[in-house]
Amino acid sequence: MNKKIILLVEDNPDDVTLTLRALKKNNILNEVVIARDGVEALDYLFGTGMYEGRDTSVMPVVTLLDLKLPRIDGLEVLKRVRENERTKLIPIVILTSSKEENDLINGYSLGANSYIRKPVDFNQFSEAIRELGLYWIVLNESPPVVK
Amino acid sequence: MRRRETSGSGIGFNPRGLSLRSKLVVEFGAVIVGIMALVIAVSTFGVPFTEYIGSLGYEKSVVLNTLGLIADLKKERFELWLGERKDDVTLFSESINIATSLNDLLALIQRVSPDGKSPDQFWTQLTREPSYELLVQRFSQIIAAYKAYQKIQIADPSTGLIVASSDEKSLGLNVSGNPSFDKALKSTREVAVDIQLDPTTAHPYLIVSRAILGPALKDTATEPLLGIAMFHIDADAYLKPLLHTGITLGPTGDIVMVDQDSTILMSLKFPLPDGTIPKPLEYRIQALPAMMAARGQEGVTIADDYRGVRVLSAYRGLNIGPNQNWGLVVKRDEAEVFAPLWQGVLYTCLVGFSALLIAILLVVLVANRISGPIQDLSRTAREVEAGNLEVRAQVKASDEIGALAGTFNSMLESLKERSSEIERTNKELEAFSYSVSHDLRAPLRSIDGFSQALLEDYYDKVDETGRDYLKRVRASTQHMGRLIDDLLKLSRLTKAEMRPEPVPLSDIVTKIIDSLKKNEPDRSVECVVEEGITVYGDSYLIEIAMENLLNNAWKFTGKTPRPKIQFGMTQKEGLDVYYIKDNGAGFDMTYSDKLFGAFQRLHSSEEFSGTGIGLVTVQRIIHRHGGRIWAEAEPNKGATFFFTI
Repeated sequence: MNKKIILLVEDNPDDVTLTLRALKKNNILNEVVIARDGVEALDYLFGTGMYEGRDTSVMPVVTLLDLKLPRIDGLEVLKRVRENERTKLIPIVILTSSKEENDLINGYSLGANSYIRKPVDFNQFSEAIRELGLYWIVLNESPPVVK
Repeated sequence: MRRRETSGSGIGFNPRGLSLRSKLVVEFGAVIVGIMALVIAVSTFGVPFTEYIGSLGYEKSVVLNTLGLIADLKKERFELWLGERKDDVTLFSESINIATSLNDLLALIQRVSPDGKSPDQFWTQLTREPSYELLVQRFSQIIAAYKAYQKIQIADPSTGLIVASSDEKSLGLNVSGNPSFDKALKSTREVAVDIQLDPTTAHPYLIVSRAILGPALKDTATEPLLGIAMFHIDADAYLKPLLHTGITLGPTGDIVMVDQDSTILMSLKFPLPDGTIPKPLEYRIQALPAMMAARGQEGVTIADDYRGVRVLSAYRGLNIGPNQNWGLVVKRDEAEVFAPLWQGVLYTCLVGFSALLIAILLVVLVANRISGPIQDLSRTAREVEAGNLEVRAQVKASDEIGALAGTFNSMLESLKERSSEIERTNKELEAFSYSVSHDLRAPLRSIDGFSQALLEDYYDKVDETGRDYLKRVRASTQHMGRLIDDLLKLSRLTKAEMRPEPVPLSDIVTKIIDSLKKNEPDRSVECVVEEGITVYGDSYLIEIAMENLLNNAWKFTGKTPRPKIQFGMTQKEGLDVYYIKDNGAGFDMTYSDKLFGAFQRLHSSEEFSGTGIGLVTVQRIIHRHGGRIWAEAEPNKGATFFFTI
């Protein structure tokens, strides 16, 4: 039961591939759950919809959340996650290409733990993923599980 | 950048201008008052050294003239009247009948009392004598003919006793010593004129007296002196009216008669300043007009009278008899004479002043009517300048200013529309650049990422050329990424609000240089920064500009053996100019107009990397601060960028 799952919320399949590659390159071999939009992300975290029946006592060790998502966007996901008792403490890292100050402010205001900007340069991107992984998976203490 | 002043610069009325206007009004008023005063003064007092004597001078001469005429009239009248009285007494004295009766009377008196002393009865008896009765009858006739004669009497020349009188009580009185008696006695054929005070009533009396001579005696051929006739006239009752009636001298006018010693011969109209009443035949006037008249002089003068009051007077000598001159003064108080004149001046001043006040009031009203709307207009403009586009000017009048206000308002209307349009456009632009940055980057990331993946995972399957191609693909995508970033920054610049404040330029430059040095510690660049320079502007934007300029200087001295970067301030045409100077690659001035074009580069990317956006950003920032930026350079000698803020 000590699986450390990474939830990747990203609609761009290229970005998904590159992120997975980056993780692999950096020897981060945790299970990665992909949610392609806000609905899937919430379904997973709340154990609803397509993830009906999932054991919701198991939360991802870190959620990498993109902001621009179809159906329900990143900030809305963040908001709802933080409103839910079960999920309000889980670590969420916003991983987006936007540097807009509004997004930054809103992200932090709504309770994101971190805000990382996706660089164009793949090497830098890979480096960012490595550090992310190291920090949240290895170093950070996860919040307690809510039964 | 200069600090924006809001105290009514430009089209507005300077608030100080209002008091300037009041100053103008006051000066205008003062000038008008001055002119009025001058005109009144000249018309009243005349022009000195010219023939124009003004209304004052004119009034003076008219009054003096009139007084002179009156004095002449009175003099003539009096002298005529006196002549008649003299004639009366002369006629009487030369009457043979009178002489005869008198002779008889005197003989009788001689017989009865040879020594001159007589008891009262004697006189009473005397009255029954026919000679006496004849005389008295004659007296009554004369008195009946001219009621002015109060008393007529005859005195015995040897004794001085009154031997006949119209008033029985006077009989027996001794009048020797009386000037009328003495003078008539001395001059025999001349009529003596005198004014005396009645001993009982203290009233002044005019006495004309003459010697009565009898027919010439046969032997001596001399006419014997029989008696002295004395005719008494009440001066106050008859002489005064003679002088005063028939003319009006006004409330302060008076006619004064004095004798040769300037002693008044009749009561005066006004008392002395201390309240005492000058007594006739006692008080001696020492004022000029009276004294001149007493000396027999003739003329007009303005001088102080016996009360010390300034009067206009005419004086004449009165011919009383040989070696006897009295004086006549006709006078009026100067104050009374000129009172109407001063009143006229006063009213003129009042009317003039009121007219002036009304004129000023009207001017001010009209000016307000005009300036009011103008001020309102400028106030509205000021508010618009401050940022309020909702405000509108008042359109009150239907004249040109009203039309201007109307046009102004419709201008504001379109300004407001334009402004909201611009805001809308800006918002759209904002949204656009947001999505640009986001949406454009994602594919870039893919391109770069997969190129790298290809390079790494299929390294052995790709040859040298292939690897080279992929490397170029990656380089291009990264370049594009930077371009997008720079473009985004540039677009955000135009919309960002400027927050003007004092900015420590020297400190910012030092900070940037320090961070540049930290990033590349193995580069040693000599940096000279002038201390203490502060400018006024948006600190965030200015920092970006300095970053760009210093980055350029740092970059373009990369190949210089002894790189030197300078920051300082100088003066050009009276303005403060700041500069960043380096001794790096420089550029050819021929292409300097391309310097600030977006994406324009004057060096190849092999020599120096860069997007070409940096300087555009700097220029836009400088321009937003209302400044200018330009550069001077020489290839391989360095470049200096000058700017004003």
